Amino acid sequence: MSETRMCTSEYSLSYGDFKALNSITIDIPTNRITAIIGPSGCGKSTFLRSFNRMNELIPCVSTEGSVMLDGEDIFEKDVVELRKKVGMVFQRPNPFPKSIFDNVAYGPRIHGIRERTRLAAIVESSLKAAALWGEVRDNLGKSGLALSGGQQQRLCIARALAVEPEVILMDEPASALDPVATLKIEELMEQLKKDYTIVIVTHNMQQAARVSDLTAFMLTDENRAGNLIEFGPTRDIFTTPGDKRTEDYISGRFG
Amino acid sequence: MPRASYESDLQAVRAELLEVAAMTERAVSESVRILKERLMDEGSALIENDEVINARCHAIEEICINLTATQQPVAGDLRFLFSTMLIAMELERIADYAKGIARINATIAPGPHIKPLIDIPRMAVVATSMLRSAIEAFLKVDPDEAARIPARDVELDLLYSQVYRELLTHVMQNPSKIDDAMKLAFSAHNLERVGDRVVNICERIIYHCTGEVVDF
Repeated sequence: MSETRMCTSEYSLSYGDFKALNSITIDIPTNRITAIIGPSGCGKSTFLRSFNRMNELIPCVSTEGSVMLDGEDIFEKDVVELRKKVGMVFQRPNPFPKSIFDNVAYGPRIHGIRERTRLAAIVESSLKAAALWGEVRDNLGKSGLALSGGQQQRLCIARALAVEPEVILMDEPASALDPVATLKIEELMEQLKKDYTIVIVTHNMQQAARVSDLTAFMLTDENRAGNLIEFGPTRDIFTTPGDKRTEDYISGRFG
Repeated sequence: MPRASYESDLQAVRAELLEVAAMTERAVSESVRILKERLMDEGSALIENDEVINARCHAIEEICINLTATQQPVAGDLRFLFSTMLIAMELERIADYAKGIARINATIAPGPHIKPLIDIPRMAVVATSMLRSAIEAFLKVDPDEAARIPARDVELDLLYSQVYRELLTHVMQNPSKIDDAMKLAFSAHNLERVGDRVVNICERIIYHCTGEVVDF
């Protein structure tokens, strides 16, 4: 097992009186893909958004326990700095209504990089890392919205990479894409994990089995709070899960 | 129930495997009865029946492959389907050994054997009882029982050595009977191999139950 990049300890999250996540403790290892699976409403997306404090945008949210990045409490960090280190890719590709170049250069510009040559170098390396460069290199001035769905999602990944994050959170990154575009994203994830730590939420269990090194299975308890039921190497979860609830879920016997 | 049709396919393939296992067990017992009692006419039915066992084993393999391709089985279902497929392959080979014994009988000239068959029928009893126990362990999803069965293979190996030694001694005294003696030794060897195949089946059952790949 590689070193821990992020971890949570007895982390709970409530929306007002409603507890959505119940005391979750997990270690997210560096340069690995960790998949979070579970039925709808089990809190997996909420949990994913905890890693870069996206839940704070929702009113009435309160948390207990800790979330750490590189051994530091993320709640004590500057949130802009945190989100620079912990990037996010969403379910639906959401490029800005700007050129491909400006989409990728957006983050670096926010963080104070102004020189055109340096921005161009960042845009090129980010698009290359997102496996999109070859398809767009001659059209960097074209609108990001003019790309196909799969290309748009890779553009969003390039945009996330441009600010040199350590961790990339992916919330159902391929659910709006066709099978070929999906496989491209999955292949890209395999490439990206050499340099980044990836946490992915997916409804698609076969996708979790294909791409991830570790799988976390979440389920709601009788109070509808999301709990972590089982966490381990993906090959173990999908061949010999330790908990009957995991087996029933991944075998399609409920959920 | 979610996935009712998938559940029923899994149950159907399990039932089919049990039936083929019972047919295979009968084929082994029957082949040795044919050999022991020198039943010259009954071998052809057993040989024909082997075609049926082969076809049903292949059908099981096909169902397992199709369910794997179309239903994305994981965890216990995945282990069940892979084990079932591999057990079916072992059953097919066991039935081939039975067919081999029936064929050997047909090539030995009619009349009594060069010596009464005592240990070869004993080998058949041990081998078929091992197979029966293994299938029960599979049915009960009982890895402990499956792990106990391979020890009984030692008994088969000892009986085989004994048969081989006796036939060798007989041949030294009656060199003209070498052909018949060798054929009986082949029959005993087939039964010894049945034991090895049952041991393989036990390994698959343990994988099915625990996910652990063992080698006895």
